[in-house]
Amino acid sequence: MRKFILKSIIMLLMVYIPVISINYFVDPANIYHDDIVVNSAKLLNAGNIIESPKNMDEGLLQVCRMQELNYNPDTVIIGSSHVMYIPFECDGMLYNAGMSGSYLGDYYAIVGLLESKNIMPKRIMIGVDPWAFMRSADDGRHSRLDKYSRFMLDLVKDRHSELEDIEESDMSKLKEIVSFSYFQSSVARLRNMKGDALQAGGHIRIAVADNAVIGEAAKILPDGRRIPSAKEYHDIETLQKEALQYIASKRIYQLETGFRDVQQDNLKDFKRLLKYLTTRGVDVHIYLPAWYPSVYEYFKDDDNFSGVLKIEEAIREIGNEMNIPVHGGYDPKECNLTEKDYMDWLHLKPEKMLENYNYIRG
Amino acid sequence: MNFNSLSYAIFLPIVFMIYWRVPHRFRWGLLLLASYYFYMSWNPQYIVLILGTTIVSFFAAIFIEKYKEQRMRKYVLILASIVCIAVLFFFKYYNFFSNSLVIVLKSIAIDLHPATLDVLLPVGISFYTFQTMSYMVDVYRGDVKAERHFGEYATFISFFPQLVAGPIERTRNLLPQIKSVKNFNYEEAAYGLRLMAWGFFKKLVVADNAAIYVDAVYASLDKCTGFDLLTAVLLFTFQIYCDFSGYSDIAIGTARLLGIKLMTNFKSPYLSASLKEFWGRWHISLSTWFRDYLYIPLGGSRCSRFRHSMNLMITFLVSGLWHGASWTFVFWGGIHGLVQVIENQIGWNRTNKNGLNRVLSILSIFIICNIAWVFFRAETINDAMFIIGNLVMDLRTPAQFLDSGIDLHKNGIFKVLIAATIVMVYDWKSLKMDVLEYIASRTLVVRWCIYVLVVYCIIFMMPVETSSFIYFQF
Repeated sequence: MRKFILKSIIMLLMVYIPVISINYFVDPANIYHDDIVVNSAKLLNAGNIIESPKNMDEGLLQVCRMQELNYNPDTVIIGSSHVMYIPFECDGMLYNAGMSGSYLGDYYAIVGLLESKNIMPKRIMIGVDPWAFMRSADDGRHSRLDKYSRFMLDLVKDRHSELEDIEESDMSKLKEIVSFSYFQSSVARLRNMKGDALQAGGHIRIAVADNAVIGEAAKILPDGRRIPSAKEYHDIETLQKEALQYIASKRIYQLETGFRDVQQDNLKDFKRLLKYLTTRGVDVHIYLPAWYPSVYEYFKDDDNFSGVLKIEEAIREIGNEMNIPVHGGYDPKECNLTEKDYMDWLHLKPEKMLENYNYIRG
Repeated sequence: MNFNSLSYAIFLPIVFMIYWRVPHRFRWGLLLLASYYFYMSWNPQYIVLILGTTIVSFFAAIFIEKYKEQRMRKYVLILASIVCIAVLFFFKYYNFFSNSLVIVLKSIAIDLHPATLDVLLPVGISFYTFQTMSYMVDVYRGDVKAERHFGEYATFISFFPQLVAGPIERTRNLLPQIKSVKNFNYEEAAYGLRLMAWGFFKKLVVADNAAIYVDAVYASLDKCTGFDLLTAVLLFTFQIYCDFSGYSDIAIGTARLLGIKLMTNFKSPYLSASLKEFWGRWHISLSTWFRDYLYIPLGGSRCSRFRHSMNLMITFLVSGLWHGASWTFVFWGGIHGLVQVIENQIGWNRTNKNGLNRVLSILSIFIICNIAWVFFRAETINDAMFIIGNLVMDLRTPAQFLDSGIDLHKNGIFKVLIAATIVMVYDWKSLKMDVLEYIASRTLVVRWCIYVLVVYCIIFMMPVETSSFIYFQF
């Protein structure tokens, strides 16, 4: 048996040593090399517009930014990429803390960050996506913020906790270093960039942009808002094709194969967060970003995605109950939006996002 | 807990290490705990079902053996079988039969609205139900003695490698192995690992990559060209084979690590020269189950030609229904039954096929299987008929194909076809020898090169998101 175990370990090492090494040194998502994020945060906090680096750890960016933010925002925007691009204009200073694919845990984390840095704003807008409640309030997408979500969860449940006492969990980093799908991404980057890929972080240089005009590269503004690149605008034919592909695969971004029931515990935690904010005098607004028309029709037709419609109703009920305005709506028809208002199958054009936000039912 | 998950990769070595460390008398306990933990990782509540089925069948078998009066023995067997089937019926077939009844009654202007059940199908229920039923029938027939040790019996029913998708084991084979004293055998364990690697290759490289294209095509049939449909039909043939046989290989390989030999479930089925031969090579544990517990009790082939044909049709229609609560599965089973009836009528199996004759026969059966699989995969019979009707419509050249229809992973298809070819070559070689034993007999360098090559093929070629095994839904 010893011989068997020894040979098995040797085989495992033969497989995993190259996988772990390539995952660490190529690191296509910059999980193990923070320089890009730290430097990006410094540039943004100094008032620069930067070209958005690919695959940046957005959670870490929020931590780095808020640690050194040189202003106290009056309004903070929380949510996914559905809020990142919105060209809000409001009284006072704005900070857009949108992060791709944000879950409930990420909403908690951003509020936790604001609370821990003592920069709670007067107004918070939360863009609520239907997938937000598929994970619990301490399990956001951006694992670098886990301790802030746990800290915030303790606060809303009146459990006294100090941020310093909450341990940071690096399980996601550990999972990715042995991940075969991450290895595939690393190898793909090696093939595309050859030797440069092995310079940790060096293959991505942070470029400062002159202006906020839509150009070749996506940009990040000092207030956190994103400007999409020109190539992120797709023509209608491409949009239709993209939407069809996802509908055909029956797997929708973050929603995966869908859900039928609202996750009540997570919804309760969302209410707790809202209650925490409103009792502290924060003016809260909720935004429900509209889905691409054919995708929303698919949600209506496929029982597996009936949870999406139920989530909207549940959020509206909460809004009524707690006197919180609910802007927009998942149904694009309700907000008079059509295919041509979208830049890709998931995102409205920025100006249309604002229009969608400005719509309030009834 | 899927076989292709990180949690299984942690679970199995732990079970393996503890299993070979503990004294033999505690091994059944460890396996039982591990098996229930494995099952509960899918849905903890459904442990009640498998436990209930185990208890009912355990005591039923003891009563059957105890009673001398034939009528009483029969009553107990029938009652216990009804209980086991009732559970299966409730979770799997209630909505199907209820909806079918509504349709039939509506056609004669009777409007009925029975309640529908919104319950999740317990994983593996079809498999362990059949396993308990075969045990009870074997005891009734006197083929095996009723087991008196509840723990060992429960382990036999719930043995985790084969619990959720077979092979459906016979009491004669598995129960004595659970009871017997075993010592660790290096060759057996190494063979098990090789078989698992091969199973993962089939599942992750062939089946999961094929699934991406197949799912896309079947979800939007009206937007596909004939070439898309033809490709999807062919890919699904390999997807279902590699998914299911891959699972079986991993299950059998896992059991070998624990010193237990499960039955072979697949023997190069796509190299069969008749459907009768196909069913001797495909899902062998299920086909032999239906042979022994349905087909032969109905009379088998030892009756009139007409009765024989009826027995074949009944067996295959029920087999189709076993696979899923939908008329598409029944239709699929019906096709297999009908073709075998025709084979018998024309004496297809009476002549030995060699050379070109055999090659042509294999091709014919392969085409028939492809067509039948369309019904297995399609959501409705209309969809299946649409696919078959349009298979040769709007065909284009391969170059045009790459630029048309569903624009998903077209380059991935060539990857699948190459991997599927490797699988077929393996199967062809397996007709004459045990390929894994052949690899084991090579030099150290050659063996390890092959192992590393297979593992890296899997790592490089598996899709980013892998799917669960198809037969889990049965």
